[in-house]
Amino acid sequence: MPIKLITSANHSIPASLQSPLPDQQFLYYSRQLLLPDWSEQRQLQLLQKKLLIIGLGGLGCPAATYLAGAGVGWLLLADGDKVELSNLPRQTLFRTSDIGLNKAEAAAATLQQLNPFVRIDALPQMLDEAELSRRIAWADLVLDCSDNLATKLAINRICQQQQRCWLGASASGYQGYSWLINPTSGGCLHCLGHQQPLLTGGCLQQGVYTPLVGQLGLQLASMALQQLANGRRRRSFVQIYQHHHQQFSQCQLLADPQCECCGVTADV
Amino acid sequence: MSEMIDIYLNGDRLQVAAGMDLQQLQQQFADGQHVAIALNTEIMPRRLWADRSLQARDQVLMFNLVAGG
Repeated sequence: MPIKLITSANHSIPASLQSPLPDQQFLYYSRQLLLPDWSEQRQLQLLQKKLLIIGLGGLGCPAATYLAGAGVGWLLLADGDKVELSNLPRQTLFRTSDIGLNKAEAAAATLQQLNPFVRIDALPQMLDEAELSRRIAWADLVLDCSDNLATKLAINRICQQQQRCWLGASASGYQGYSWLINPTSGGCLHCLGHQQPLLTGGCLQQGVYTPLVGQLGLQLASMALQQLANGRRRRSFVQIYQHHHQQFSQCQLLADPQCECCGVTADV
Repeated sequence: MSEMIDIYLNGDRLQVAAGMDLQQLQQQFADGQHVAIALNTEIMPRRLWADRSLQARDQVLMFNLVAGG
């Protein structure tokens, strides 16, 4: 079956995704529906959610795979990069035949085959600030899976301006962490220390531990499902990977009262 | 000889001088590196490091800030 990439124009949730859940979809989501805290109603609610994933690399591929599989109704995938041979060990949506293709488009094609019951859009470009702001405003939730500081800081700034809760992660070498940032509880990427050029470099300089980006991507998927399901606004936190101990530690992110990005908005 | 206290840095127990603050800890163990520090499961903004003195049995996580993905 040819895969049709739906463009960003004429967006609406298909009528088929209103209740009740069609038989084939009931079968598709059956293992999830068996969970004690899941229900057809919850599935239908998830099918009406809109998610923006920025970056379809080592973090974005696993996150998008499990969120499409779980039945997030509308995924918007943004990435301007092309698939390269060195991506394949970690970026599991791609095959050698995808080399040279745009990552967002190649990922959308694979995900649409994985779950034909959700809507997948590809944005095959780097988003400028205005476009990023417009897309963030559109989404119910934003996942930062990008691989560079400038994009992360732009997302941080815009989500702060729009008071939008968002998720993200970073990894390089054996170091990595994921986060949930809730602007209304204070704390942001600036407060964490991302306001300056990072001295440690990125994956191009330091390499990256292959399973780590997968673990972080799955964490983002799980956090996103929880956030989309109950909408409860948690306090900002960071989950830090400790390679030596093979474990993650969750820590609350405290607001810097003088933070140039969020210092005036914290109200908790 | 100054008094020493036991703390845990990234899960490992070690002794530091009583009264040492987070900024001094960063200078001793990660000088020149761009790190974040969590003290007892709270990530401390860099601006507050010099004001936070370590106490015996404190749990400290010090980790490099990175931007890859």
